[in-house]
Parts: sequence; C-alpha cells; structure tokens
Amino acid sequence: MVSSDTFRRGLHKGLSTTWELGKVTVPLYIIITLLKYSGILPHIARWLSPIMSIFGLPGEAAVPLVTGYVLHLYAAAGAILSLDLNAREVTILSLMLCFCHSLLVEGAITRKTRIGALPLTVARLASSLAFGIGLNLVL
Amino acid sequence: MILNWELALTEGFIGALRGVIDLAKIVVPIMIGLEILRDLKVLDRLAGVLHPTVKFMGISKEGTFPLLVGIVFGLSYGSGVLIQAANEGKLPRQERYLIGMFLSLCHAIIEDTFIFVALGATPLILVGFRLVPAVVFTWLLFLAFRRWSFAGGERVSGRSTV
Repeated sequence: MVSSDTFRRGLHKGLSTTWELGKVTVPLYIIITLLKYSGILPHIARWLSPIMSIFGLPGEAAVPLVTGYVLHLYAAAGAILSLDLNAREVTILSLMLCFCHSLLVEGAITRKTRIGALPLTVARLASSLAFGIGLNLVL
Repeated sequence: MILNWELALTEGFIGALRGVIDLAKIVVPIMIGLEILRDLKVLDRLAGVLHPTVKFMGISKEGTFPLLVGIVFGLSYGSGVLIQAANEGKLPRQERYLIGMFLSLCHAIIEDTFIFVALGATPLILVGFRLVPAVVFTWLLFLAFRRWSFAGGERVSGRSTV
C-alpha cells in the first residue's frame, strides 16, 4: 500500500542519489572547466576528433563517454553539462552511454547473478558503438 | 592564453551546482514515483499481462517479473529479484542468462532516460533504441541455447514450443 512512508523513502532515495551524484559531478565539472580554460581540453579534443566524428560527436565528447563507461551516468551527465553540446549530440551520446555505463560497478552486480561479466560487457560496448554510428547516420 | 583561475573556478562551481540542482529536480520526483509504483505492486500485475510479448525470447511467466523490475527499477533491484527467484528454484540457469543479457543492455529506463532528457536528449530515441538490441541479443542467445541444448536445455527447448 502507498503510505507516507512511500513518499519518505522516495524523497530519501532521491536526495541521497543527488548527494552521490553531486560528489562526483561538482569536482568533475570544475576540472573540465579548468581544462577548457587552460587550453588542454581543446588540445585533447583536436586529437580525438577523428575518432569521435564517426559518431557525429566533437572530440571533447570523449570525456563524458569514457567517464560514463568507467564511472556512472551521473558523472557523465556532469561532464556533458560542462561542455557545449547541441541536442543532437547529446542524444547520440546519451544513447551510447545508456547501453554501456558503470562497467566497474555493474560488472560486479552481474557477476553476482553468475552470468559472465565479459560477454555482457562485450555486448554492451558493441551496442554502444554500433548505435552511436547508426544514430549518427539516421538522425 | 593566460588562464584566469578565479573566473574558471567560479564558472565551474556555479555551473556544477546549477547542474546538480537541475538533476535533483528530476531525480527526486522519479524516485518518489518509483516507490509508489513499487508499493502499488504494479509490476506484479503487469508481469502476467506482458508475458506473451517476451515468451519468444525464452522468458517464462516467473522470469517476466524480475525482467520488468530490472527494466523499470534498475540492475541492482532486478538482479536482487533474479537471485531470489533463482534461490527458490523457479528459474532455470539458461533463463537467468537470458534475463541478465536483456537487463545488462536495458535497465532503469525511467531514471536513465530522464537524466539525459534533462540535458536535452530526445526521450523516445533513448527508450526505443535501447529496447531493440536488448531484444535481439536475448533472442539470439535463446536460439543458441536451443541449438546447443546446454545442460538442462530440455527445459528451454520445451518452453519454446509451448
């Protein structure tokens, strides 16, 4: 049954998630902003742009992509916030990240169900890259 | 170019804070909504209705519930229910593999989608395209299980003909 406890639990979960994401998002956002201002990020972006252009993304989009793959979606969201990406780029990047994220933590969870983490990770990465390329073509 | 540290730090901090507040405005209502959904036991009821649509991937009636829980609430909830069902002996190993395959590609679609919608992504594309490879990979795995008929594969192939 839905009671006041339901709302309390929901509020608590929402706020603790916000706190968790803030702990990662705020420092990451600041670091990326500093990288942007210092000219290091544009340098990395130029270097990575041939790879990222396969997905129709600018080079600096590699930062949220890798962050999301390794850490989690909230960290990736923080990185996306600090960059100037348009709606199309955010949609492509989001779909790629939805397929494949938090590989460290979620790999451990899937291992608990006794399903091999490696084949699942391969399927996730393959879907992420394939749909990134595909969405760039159709969108 | 000379780096203006003060400006960069201020912009970084204010921007980050604003971003976290924007995400909180989305995350908190979603978490409350999910808790309501859980307490109303909507998914228990939905599992029976949706079972025919997932049968072709080799998911049984018992497996439909953990699958739905994972899709809506996320991987940790979903695998919790999955492990519980496995311990009760309700789910054969192959089916746990199938559900695991599906959920690793497609989980927490409500929370994940809204995070990115907050950043400007198109929700329908995120949900629609996420379901496609999850279904395809799970179905292919099911076909592979049937062909090789793994240990206990009889149960899998038996199901497919039902």
